Amino acid sequence: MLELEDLRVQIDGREIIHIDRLELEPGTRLGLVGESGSGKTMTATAIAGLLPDEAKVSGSVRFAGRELLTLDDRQLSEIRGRKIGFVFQDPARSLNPMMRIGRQVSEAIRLHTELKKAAVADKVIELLELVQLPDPPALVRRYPHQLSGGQQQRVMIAAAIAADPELLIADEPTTALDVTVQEEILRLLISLSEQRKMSVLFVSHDLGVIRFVCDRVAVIYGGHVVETGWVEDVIANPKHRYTNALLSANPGMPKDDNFSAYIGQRLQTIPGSVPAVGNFPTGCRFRNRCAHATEACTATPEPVTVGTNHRYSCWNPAEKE
Amino acid sequence: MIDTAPTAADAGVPPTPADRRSLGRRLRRWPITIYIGGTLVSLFVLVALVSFVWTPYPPNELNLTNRLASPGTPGFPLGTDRAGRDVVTELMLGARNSLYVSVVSTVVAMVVGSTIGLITAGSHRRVQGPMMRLVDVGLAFPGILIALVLAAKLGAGNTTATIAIIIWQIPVAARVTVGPARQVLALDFVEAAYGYGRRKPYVMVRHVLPNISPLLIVLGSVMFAAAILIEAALAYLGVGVQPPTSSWGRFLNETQSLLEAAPYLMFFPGLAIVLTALGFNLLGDGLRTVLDPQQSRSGLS
Repeated sequence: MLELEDLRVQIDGREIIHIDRLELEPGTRLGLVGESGSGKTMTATAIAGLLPDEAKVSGSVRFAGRELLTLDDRQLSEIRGRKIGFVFQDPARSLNPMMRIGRQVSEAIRLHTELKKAAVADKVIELLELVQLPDPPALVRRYPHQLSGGQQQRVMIAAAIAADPELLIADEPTTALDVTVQEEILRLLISLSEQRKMSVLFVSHDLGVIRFVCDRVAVIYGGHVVETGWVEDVIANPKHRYTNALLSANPGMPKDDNFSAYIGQRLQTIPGSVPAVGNFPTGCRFRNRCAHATEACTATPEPVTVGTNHRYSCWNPAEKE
Repeated sequence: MIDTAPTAADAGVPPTPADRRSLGRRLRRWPITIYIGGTLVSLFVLVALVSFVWTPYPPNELNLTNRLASPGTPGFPLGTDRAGRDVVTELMLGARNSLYVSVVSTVVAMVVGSTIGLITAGSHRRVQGPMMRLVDVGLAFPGILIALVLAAKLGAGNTTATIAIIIWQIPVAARVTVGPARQVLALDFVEAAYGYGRRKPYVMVRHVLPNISPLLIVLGSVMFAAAILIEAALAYLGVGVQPPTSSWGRFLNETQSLLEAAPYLMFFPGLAIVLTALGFNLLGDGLRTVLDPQQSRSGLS
């Protein structure tokens, strides 16, 4: 349903994203994971042409059989909201502070359907109930700042699914929320996706969250997909050294629920930080931070497929432990 | 709501700050400048409106027997001018003219200027630069010069003064709108609106405009003050309204030659101009404090 091929994003002549191949099957949930600055958000926003004016996008983004990159603004705006819904990172900033909740949720409905005013109002109440918000009739009259962060994100989700999109792009939808609220929102996203057979492109820096929500995962580093596969395959058998390092840096996944093994242990980290755009090394982009880099890594790694649909691009892949 | 029994649903949605705070407490939080400015401005508007239905003497009635009466003369609380016109009547008619010119010019300049500002802010960055420079050129133009050139072309009068003020103020409104509009355009909810499938003109009008409206209100108030000053200045210079219509600026001009015989005469129109301009400026200042999201918890946060 969504296929990216040779997608490149350039800003000021610098290539920020280059994605060889990435596909999302209908009704499935794909996670994009990577550190800050790895290009995961940019990839997600490039899909529906929401990048700033100065970004040059080339390659191919096919959505439900249509090429999106050649569409003009008017055609894209018919797809946005109607076919592709968006949920952004910070719900407090993604809601217009001067607009009542009811109006914000109804934006996509009013834009993409011919419903009468009363029908729109009913639909908004229905949506707010669907995202499990209390007392929808009173809520529609409130302003965003009168809601808690979790409630705001539920409103955003209600607005995103209002016109019944086939694909929901969720860009770190729980990063700004606290952990207990986070799980509720994730469960809500999963159940909405299952009820409505809606695909989800889920962007996160947290592999634990991705494992909770998604069927498939694509690990992004330096604007490249370094490894992709079924979430369980990738987590059980990470091939790319970057995936491996990300997993070791996450203490939340004990191999056999043996928490005592963590006590007194140092948390694994990845040395350094993601280089600024244009400062990536040649060949494998991760090699200057990789503990397992070899001579071979100075050349660009070729994608290798293992098992079912598990692809990675690494010269010195991790072995299964 | 009559049913006051607390329910789980009520607990889930926090009450609005306004619900909790009484009106009185909110009023006390307002700065004093709002009250002073508001009073002066309302007084000005009131006097101007009343002049349509009532003035102590009919406009331009000459009391030749009572020329240059000093303030306190029975029937003429502020005295009369050289032609024997009642000063109170003159001031009321002057307020009317000031109100008329400043309302028309401010409204037009605000609408046109902020529209230009919004279009500039929303345009591609390659268009934005030249647009901004064009606005800067407009700002650099000396306003009095515009008025004098216009007067030479169109002849002196209220229309000339109004047009001059509009041309003078449009770049100001545009320049002030661009920055905040660009800031709002960079916010996440604008991207979210594009995400729903909205397009630029809608986003500009429904998302950007409401979010910069506090600024536009303050700007309008300050531009009002400027318009009143400019109107008076132009009338004083003889470019503005022509006799027999009264204006504070023209009154000031006429009494100038009486500086020695009746110095107090200049004082009244001067005071009227100062108090009105001060009133709008104070009101604008107070509104800025109240509407500034950084200082009020109920605004943008």
